[in-house]
Amino acid sequence: MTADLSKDEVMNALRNFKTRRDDLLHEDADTFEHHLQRFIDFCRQNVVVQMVLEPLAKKLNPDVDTWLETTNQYNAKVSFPPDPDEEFILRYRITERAAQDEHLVISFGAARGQHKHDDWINYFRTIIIRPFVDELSHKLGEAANLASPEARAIQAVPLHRIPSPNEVKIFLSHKSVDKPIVYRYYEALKAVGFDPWLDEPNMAAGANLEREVLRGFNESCAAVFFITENFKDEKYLAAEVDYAVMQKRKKDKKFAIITLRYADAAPVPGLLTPYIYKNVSNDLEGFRELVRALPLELGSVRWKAEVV
Amino acid sequence: MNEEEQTSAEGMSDTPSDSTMRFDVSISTDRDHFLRRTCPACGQDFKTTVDPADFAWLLSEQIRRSGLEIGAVPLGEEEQAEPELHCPYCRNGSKSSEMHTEETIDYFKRFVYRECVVPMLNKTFSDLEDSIGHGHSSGGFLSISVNFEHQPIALMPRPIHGPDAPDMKIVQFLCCDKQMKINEWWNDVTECIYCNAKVVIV
Repeated sequence: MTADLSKDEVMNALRNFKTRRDDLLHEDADTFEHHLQRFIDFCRQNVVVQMVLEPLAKKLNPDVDTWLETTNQYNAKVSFPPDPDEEFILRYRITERAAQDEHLVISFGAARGQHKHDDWINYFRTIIIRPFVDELSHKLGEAANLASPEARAIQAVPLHRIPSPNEVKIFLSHKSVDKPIVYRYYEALKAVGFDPWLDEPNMAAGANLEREVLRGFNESCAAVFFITENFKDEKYLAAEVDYAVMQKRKKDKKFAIITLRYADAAPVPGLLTPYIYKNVSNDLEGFRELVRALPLELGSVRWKAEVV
Repeated sequence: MNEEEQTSAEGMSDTPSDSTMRFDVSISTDRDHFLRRTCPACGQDFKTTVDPADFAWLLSEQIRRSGLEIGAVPLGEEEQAEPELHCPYCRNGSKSSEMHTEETIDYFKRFVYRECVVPMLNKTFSDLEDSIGHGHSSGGFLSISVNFEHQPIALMPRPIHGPDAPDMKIVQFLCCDKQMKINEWWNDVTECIYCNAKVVIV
């Protein structure tokens, strides 16, 4: 509702409203007239308050004169229209009228057996003004609509839950012939913010394959095995299975062995069977299972920098 | 959208017997259910989620400060120490009841005045009036005539708390799964304001 106003305008409006409201309700009865006039002036001039009052005041026009005439008879019942908005505007109009005519407060209290100045004022405050400013406070709270802070939410993560950069890689173990499938996983993991490790893009030319693979495992929090019809538990793949089991023993919950078994694939190697594996029918299903099984989670949702 | 939270405090004894009074206090939070706080050390505002026990402690503190010689203890809190909060800006640690805004404290003062102080004063004066209202004593040579009439102190309207705009950004603490709000420009959060765990903003 206040989307066109600056944050400062909204905050100042609420602050000034609360000060004037509390002065009107709680300051000494001797200064009541001053605070009443100050409050009414504020309501008429403030943009945020007018955003609440104006639409209702235009739509509803309660007969204040008749209400006062009826209510100010001796011991007459104080009743308001059943429609909450109409009651709200009627109270506002009566309060406005009281700022113009000091006798209104007196005659309202006197009609109900109040005999002293302070009692007249407290009675008028309690019966007429307080319900009005209470409802106005509520409506202003709703109207003070700043940009949603959910969009600005950030996370404060305990230090023990922050991994170092050299322990968050995701090792993708595969047969060379399955490279096209594994590349799709590699790209998808990178796109959502993870740090996948794949031999080709992660190894410099001339590097020692064994050592680089071992280093890749040491820096990983998960090893993913793609069991396709091409998979054979031998040579490099067998060594990678051994490395993965070693890492699991070493890192415990901070390391996951994730086995994705495609349709018509070879059996899962014996060393991997103690760990949960999933039969997957396509890459999307495999990716979902992989992300679910990772010991890492990414941050809260936020707008991209170029969008906002 | 402007949420009202209610809390209650019990433990105020209004007679020599162990009777208790129960108070229901309405507190206004912002649209996201956060309550504004002020650090007593640096004066900066931040917001926390609402814990009714906070208000019970604040209420009992205000009752004590009003000079009422009664032990007000939040309901069910006898065995528990009052929780501490740590300012996200200056890291000052204070009791949670000491980290309320001036507005909230004024509200509670008015509440206590209206709901405790005035009724007790009226009762005290009424009892006094009953006992010596039109007394006449003439023992020995001295004759004293006392005429005491009391007009009850009129109750002020009930105070109103809020409203508050949904400003500031939300910080989610993963250590204790609680949230707070801090100024937009502040990013140097290194400790959880609730459990004091070391944290980093990500």
